[in-house]
Amino acid sequence: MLSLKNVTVGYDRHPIIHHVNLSVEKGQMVAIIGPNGGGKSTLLRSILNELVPMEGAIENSFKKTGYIPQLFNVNHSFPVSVGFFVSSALIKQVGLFKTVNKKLINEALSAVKLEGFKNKYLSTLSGGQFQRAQFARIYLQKPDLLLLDEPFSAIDQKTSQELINLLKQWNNEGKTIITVMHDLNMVREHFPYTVALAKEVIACGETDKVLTEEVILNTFSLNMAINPKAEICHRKSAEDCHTK
Amino acid sequence: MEIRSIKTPGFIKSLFIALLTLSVSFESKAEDINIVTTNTILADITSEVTGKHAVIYSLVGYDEEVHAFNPKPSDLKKLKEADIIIANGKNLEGWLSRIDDKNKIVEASKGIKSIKKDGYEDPHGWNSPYNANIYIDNIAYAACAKIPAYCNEFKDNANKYKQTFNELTIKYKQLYDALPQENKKAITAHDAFGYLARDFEITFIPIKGVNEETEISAQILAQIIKQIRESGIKVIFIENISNTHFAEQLTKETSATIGGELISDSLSKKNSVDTYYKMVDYNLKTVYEAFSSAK
Amino acid sequence: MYEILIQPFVEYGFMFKSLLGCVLISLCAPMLGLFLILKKMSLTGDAISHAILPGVAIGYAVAGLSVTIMTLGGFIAGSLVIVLSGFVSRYTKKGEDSALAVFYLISLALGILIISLNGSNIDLLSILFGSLLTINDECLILLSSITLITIVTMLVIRRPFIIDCIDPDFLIHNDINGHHYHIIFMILVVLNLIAGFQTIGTLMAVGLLILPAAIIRLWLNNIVLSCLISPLIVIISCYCGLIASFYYNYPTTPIIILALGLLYLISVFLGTNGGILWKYVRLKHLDS
Repeated sequence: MLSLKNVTVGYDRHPIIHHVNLSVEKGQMVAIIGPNGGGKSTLLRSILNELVPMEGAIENSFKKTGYIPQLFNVNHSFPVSVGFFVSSALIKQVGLFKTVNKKLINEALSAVKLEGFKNKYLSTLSGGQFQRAQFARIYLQKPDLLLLDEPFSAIDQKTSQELINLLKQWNNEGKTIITVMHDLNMVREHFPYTVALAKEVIACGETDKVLTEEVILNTFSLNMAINPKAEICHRKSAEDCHTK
Repeated sequence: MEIRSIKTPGFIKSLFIALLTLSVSFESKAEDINIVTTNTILADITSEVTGKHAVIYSLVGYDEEVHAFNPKPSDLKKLKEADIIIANGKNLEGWLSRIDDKNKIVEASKGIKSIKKDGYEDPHGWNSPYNANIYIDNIAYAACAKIPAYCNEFKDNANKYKQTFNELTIKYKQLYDALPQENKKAITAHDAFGYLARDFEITFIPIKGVNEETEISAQILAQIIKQIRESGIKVIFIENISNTHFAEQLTKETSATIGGELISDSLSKKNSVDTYYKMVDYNLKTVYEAFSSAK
Repeated sequence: MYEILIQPFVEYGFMFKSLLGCVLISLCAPMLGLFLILKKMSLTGDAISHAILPGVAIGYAVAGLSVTIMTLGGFIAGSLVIVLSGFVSRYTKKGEDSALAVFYLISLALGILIISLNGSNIDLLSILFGSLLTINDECLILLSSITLITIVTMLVIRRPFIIDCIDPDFLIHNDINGHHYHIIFMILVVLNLIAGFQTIGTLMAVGLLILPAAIIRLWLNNIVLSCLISPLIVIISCYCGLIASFYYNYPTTPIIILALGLLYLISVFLGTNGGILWKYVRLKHLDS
C-alpha cells in the first residue's frame, strides 16, 4: 500500500506539488493525468525517494518498486547488447560473479516481443524498441509496484497497444501500477482509476467519475508557472484521495 | 662571508618561506658593494676575493641546476639592486640578455681558451683548476674597479687564493701523469668536464650533450653502450644534479661501474663540497681514485 | 631479417626492457582509455596527469629518488582530485567536468609551487616525466603490479561499472551506489597514469591511454574484442618506434605517439566502424 499524506515537494520553497493526499491500494491500476509542469513526474520521483518532501509523509510498503522514467538518462551509444541491458535488472541477485540465467532473459524479451534482439546493440534500437527493452527489464525485476512516466509518448500505435496489454496482464497478476499518461483516450480505455494532478490533486477516483469535462477543463487550464512573488501558502490539507 | 641564497633545501622550510619574504641581513657597512652572482661557485670565489667588503647573493643555490634557470621577479629585483653582476659567460646564462644594466655584468670566464663543440662554446670553465686563476683575476679586477680603496686587499686575497689552486694543480698533475692513458677514460652524465679532460689528458664521454632539453634516441644510447663495451671504459661518473637512471642502465649493460658522484655546476651541501676549492679538490680526487682502482 | 628486427633487443638490455614496459602497459591502458572515451571523458587523462604533480613532488621532497614514494605521492594527489571533484559535482550538481578542471588546476599550481620552492632542479622534472629508454627493474615490477591490479579489478567490477556507465539512475533505484564503481575505475586510471609517468612520461602515458582506444573504436564496436585487440596496436607501435629510434636516431617517445597518430588518421578514413571512406562506398544491401 502506498500513501501520501499532505505531501508538498518543490524547490526553493516554491511547491511543484502541494498538499497531496493520496493512497493507492495493492493491485490497482492508476493513471495520473495533468498539464505539463503539473508535478506528475515529481510525484513519481517523490514516491521513489528521489525527492524529499518539504512537508508531509510518504509511506511505501511495497517490497519492490520498479520505474521507467520519462526522459532517459541512458547512454544509448554505449556498445552493450540489449541482452546485457535487460539483464541489469538482475544485478542485485547475480552480484559481481554469478552467471545470469539466459532463460530468464529470453523470457523477458519474448514477453515484449523482442526475441532476436538479444545480441543487438542498444544504439540500433528505435524509440519503440527501446521502450520494449525497458519493459523487458522491468519484467525481470518483478517489482510489486510499477511507476511509469509517460511510457507511451513518442512510440508507435502497435507498440503502445502491446505494451499496455502487457501492463494489464501484470496488473491481473497482482502488480500495482501507477502510470503518468498523456493520452486521455487510452486512460479511459485501460485504467480503472485516475488522479488528476495540477500542482495539487484536482480529482481522484474511478476514471469515468474523474474524466469529466469540468475536471479536465479545471486541470488543464491552471497556470503551472512558478510565481516569484508568491506568498506563504495558508491552505489546509486537501481532502483525502483514495483510489478506491 | 656567508653566501645568501633565496632557496633553502628542506621542504617544510620552503613552505614557510613561500609565505614570508625571506631576508637575512648581515651587518654591512655603507661602503660595501652589493654583488649578485649567477651560481654558488662564482659566489664562493667572489667571497674569497672580496672578503668582508661585499654582500654576495647567488641566484642559483646549492645542488641546483644552472642550465635551465629562469629568473623570478624577486631575482630580477636583486639584479637591479646589485652593483656588480658576476656571471660565467660563454652563454651559460642565456637569460641575462633580457635584463637591463648590462654594463654591470662581469664575464668571469673571459680569457679562457674555449673548447668548441658542435658550434657551442663549452661554458664549464670552472671545472679545471687551471682556469681558476682566470676566474679569480677577472673577479678581482671587477671588484677593484668598483672599490679602488680596497683593491690592494682584493689583490692580496686573490693571489693567496690562486696559490692554493696552483698547489692543487701541481699535486694532481703529477698523480694523473703517472696513470696509464687507457685508464683515464670515463663516462660523465653531462658534458661539464671538457676543460678538466683537456688539461689532465682524460677522455670524458658525456651521455647527453651540453644542452639538457633533448630526449635521447635509442640509437645514441646503443652507440654509447657499444662504445663503452668496445673501448673498455670501466668508469661512469654521476653528478649531484642529474638523473642516475642513465648511469645505472649503462652499468647493467657493460662492465663499467659507477666511479663516484662528481660535483659539476653547483656547490653541494651533500659531501660537504660547499666551497669552490673543495669542489675542484673533490672532483680531482674522486676521478683519480676511480681511475687508479679500475681494472 | 632477424639481425635487423630482433638483434637490437637481444644485444641491448635497454631495448628489451623498454619493449617489455610497453607490453605491460598495453595490457590495460587501452582498456581504461576505451571506457574513458565511451564515457566522454577523453580529456580526463590529460587533466589527471597534471593533477598528480604535487603528490610526486612532495614524494620526491620527502624521500628523494624513490620510485615507490613518488608513486605513492602521485597516487594520493590524483585520487584526491578525483574524489573531490566527484564529491563536489555530486553535491552541487554542477557537472563533473568543471569540478575536475578546477581541482586539477589547483593541484597543478600547487605542484609547480612545490617544485619551484625546492629549487630549479631540472632533474626532478626529468624523473617525473620518465624516460622509456632507461626503465629499470623497479619500474617493471611497478608496471606488472599495476597491470595485474587493473585487469583483476576491472573484471570484478565490470557489471555494475558498465551499468553505471549506461544508466546510473537505475542503480540508484536499486540501492546500489554506482558512483563507487566510477570512482574505483578513475582510481585505476590514476594508477596507470602514474605508472606511465615513470616509465614513459606524461605525453606517452596519456597517449597510450587514449590513442589505441580511439583507433580501435573506428574498427570495432564490441567492448571485449576491443580490449583484446588494442594491446596489439600498442605493442606494434612501440616496437616500430623503438626500431625507428634505434636505426634513425629519432627520440623514442614522440615517434611512438606519432606512429599511433598516423594509425588513427588511417583509421578515420578506412575504419570499418565509422570510417569516412565507407560513406562513399555503396555495397548492395541485404534483404533483411
